[in-house]
Amino acid sequence: MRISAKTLHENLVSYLFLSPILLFFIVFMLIPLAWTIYLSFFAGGILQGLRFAGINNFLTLFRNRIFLTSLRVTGIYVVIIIPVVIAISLFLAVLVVDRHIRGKNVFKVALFFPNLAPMVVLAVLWYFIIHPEIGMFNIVLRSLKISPPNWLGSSSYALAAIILLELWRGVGFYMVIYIAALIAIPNELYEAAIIDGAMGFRRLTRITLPLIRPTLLFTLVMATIWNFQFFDSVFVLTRGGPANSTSSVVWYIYANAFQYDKLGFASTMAVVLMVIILILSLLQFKFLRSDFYY
Amino acid sequence: MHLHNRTGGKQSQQGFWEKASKKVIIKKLVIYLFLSVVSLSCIYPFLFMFSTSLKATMNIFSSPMELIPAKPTLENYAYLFRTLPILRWISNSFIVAAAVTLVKIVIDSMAGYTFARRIFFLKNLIFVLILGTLMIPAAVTLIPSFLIIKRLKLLNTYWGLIIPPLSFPLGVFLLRQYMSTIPYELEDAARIDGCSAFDIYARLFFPLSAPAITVLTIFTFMQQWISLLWPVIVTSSTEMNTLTVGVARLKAESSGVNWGLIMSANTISLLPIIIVFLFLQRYFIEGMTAGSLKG
Repeated sequence: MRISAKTLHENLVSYLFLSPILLFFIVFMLIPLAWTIYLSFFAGGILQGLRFAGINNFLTLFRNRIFLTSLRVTGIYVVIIIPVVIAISLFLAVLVVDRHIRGKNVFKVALFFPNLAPMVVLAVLWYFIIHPEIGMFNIVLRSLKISPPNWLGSSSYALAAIILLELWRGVGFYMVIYIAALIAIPNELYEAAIIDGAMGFRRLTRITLPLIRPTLLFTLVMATIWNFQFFDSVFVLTRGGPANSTSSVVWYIYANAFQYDKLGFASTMAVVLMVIILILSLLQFKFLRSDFYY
Repeated sequence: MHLHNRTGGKQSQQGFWEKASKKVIIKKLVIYLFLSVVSLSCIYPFLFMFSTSLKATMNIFSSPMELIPAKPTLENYAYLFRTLPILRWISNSFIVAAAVTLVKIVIDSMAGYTFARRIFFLKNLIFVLILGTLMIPAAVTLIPSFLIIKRLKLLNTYWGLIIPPLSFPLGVFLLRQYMSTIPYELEDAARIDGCSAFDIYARLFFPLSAPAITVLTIFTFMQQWISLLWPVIVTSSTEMNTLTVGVARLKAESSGVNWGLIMSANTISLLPIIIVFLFLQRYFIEGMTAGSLKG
């Protein structure tokens, strides 16, 4: 096969254009990826030194109580937060785009506002709001004759507090995405539906939901990937406690790698986390793809 | 039935509209009320944060619900600026976020143009590889990235904070999608005028992609501004902390003791973004949700 000088030149120029991103991509994405998989077969860490352990890490991992707990914690968190946050934000979006409602932008900005703050700042603020003595949320609950739990001090409520925090942030975030999708639906469809006598709920299930289905599924995939990695709120609020009740997988990876110096074991968990997320997103994308055309 | 209806037709129709409009008004009121309550509960904590930052510690405990402080004071802010390098943290965060954003814009747009318009060896394989890593959790590359940065002796430096995030390839994908929609005729005309490949990228594709680049700018900047996990691992001295790390450590060290101080730090750390947001609101919302919109 002969390669003409022109083709060679074209290739050279293309790779010159790509070289900076490829450099960073290879050094800080591909190599780390391979390295993590490699490390997952080793025991030990930086200080103790690494020893080859074969598949031992993987075997002990699934007998490790705390890792299993962190899988459960992450699972509960994801399974609760995703349907709740998507349902509430979609509901709010439907209300806000209603053509009778004025001041759309005020509601939109107010609900989106928490997203301007880093999760750290939100978490610190949340910590203050649910403070056992002076927390405003608890004072409100008490005035409603509900005795508030000691949120972060109790192993049954700490995760709930973290879920509520993410709800506060997430509702506005997904809402603005749904608003954008809802606005794109042509008004004629609704007018036609009104002439056909379709009332509110039917319009929602027959027009709105099917038309924003791609957006819904896409946010579902993204929300799953992100929420599976929740860390910041745990880092600020509970550091995995009490009694590991908020130890998310990423938190436990962080703690093993950078606090207990168990790099190998942490890498094994990272590989498992990656496999779980890949399987979940592949499954969701399978549904998503078949829904792109309707 | 039919006949009966026809006789009283006009009247009953009027009644119907009156009832309907009354129903619409009530419905509207309920919606407004509901949206206002939800919006207010989203915003109220921030107002409260600001008001707490203006209270003396004693008053925070004696009247915790008070929104407008009876005796506002700036002593928390004075103490904050005196004892903590919060301005340093803000400028650290700003330097890192701005540097990552600038570099990303240049290298992602170059790659975006190349994938959108150029033909080269292994093009599809490389693109699929880049796209595939979008799904990979940050925790997976964390440990080796740390080891590499450590070996390069860049721990606790700006370089160490800036370089690893440059590998995140969402922008390549975003810009490739956008640049694919730019008409071929423009490119052909430029080529006939004797423009080189670099000219076509720099003087045609880059400026024409301004909307997508704006989205990428805000997305990348905010992504870095709020990031915690990587800065926590890389920085070890107080001076090198980014804002998120500084605030998190401040909370860990003085939690439950000095709420006025913590809330004033929180307020200061929100301020720069709020100011930018006021000017660039529309772009902001679009940019921050870019990761979840399909290309």
